[in-house]
Amino acid sequence: MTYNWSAVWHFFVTLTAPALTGVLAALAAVLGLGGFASLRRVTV
Amino acid sequence: MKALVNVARYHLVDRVTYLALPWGIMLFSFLVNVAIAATVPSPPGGQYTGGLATIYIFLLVCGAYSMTRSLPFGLMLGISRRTYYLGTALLVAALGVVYGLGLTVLQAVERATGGWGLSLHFFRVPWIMDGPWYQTWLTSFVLLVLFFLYGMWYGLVFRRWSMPGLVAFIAAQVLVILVAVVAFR
Repeated sequence: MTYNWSAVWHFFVTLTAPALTGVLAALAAVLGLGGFASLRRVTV
Repeated sequence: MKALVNVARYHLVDRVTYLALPWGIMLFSFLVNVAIAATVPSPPGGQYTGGLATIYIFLLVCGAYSMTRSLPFGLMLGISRRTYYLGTALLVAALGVVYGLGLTVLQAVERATGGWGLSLHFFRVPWIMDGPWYQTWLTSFVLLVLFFLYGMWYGLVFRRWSMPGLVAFIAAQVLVILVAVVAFR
């Protein structure tokens, strides 16, 4: 039985460290903008 | 801009949570790792630990805290939601720059002292934070901001939909990861 886990994992292990930082920065931007858009719906 | 700075200062009234605890908890983790490294024989290449994760995880907690504990009183003070969010983002960016620089300096000290004299690599993470100082600074900054923002999402979801929503939010993330793994297998 082999554990050919997935292309998602393969994508991350083939990244260089600066490229991974770029991916994480893009993810942070998405979270930041999404949070800004969502905050209006927050009830207190 | 002044309003955003005021929001950041409003958060920093709680200095223990935003300034002392992240470094205090990481210091505790560091000392535990030093104690282990001093008692266990070091493998070839030194000991790499995951202890640095403590500061990132605590910033995630700070992010959730900023949306659950501080937001209601901030809004009662007359701050708009938009200003509150942008001011909090300003604080996150500032903390990311300063804390990232601190981690970079500590990594430089660790390299210079041969892993604190114990071949311990606490601040030096293989692959992701093992390059030049500016790369360590940048990666630390991005990770610190990312974890804080991710924590803010947990706080936002909790405020809007309470505990059932939070559980559904976590379950949805697990499902998204599962679908991604299956789809791109």
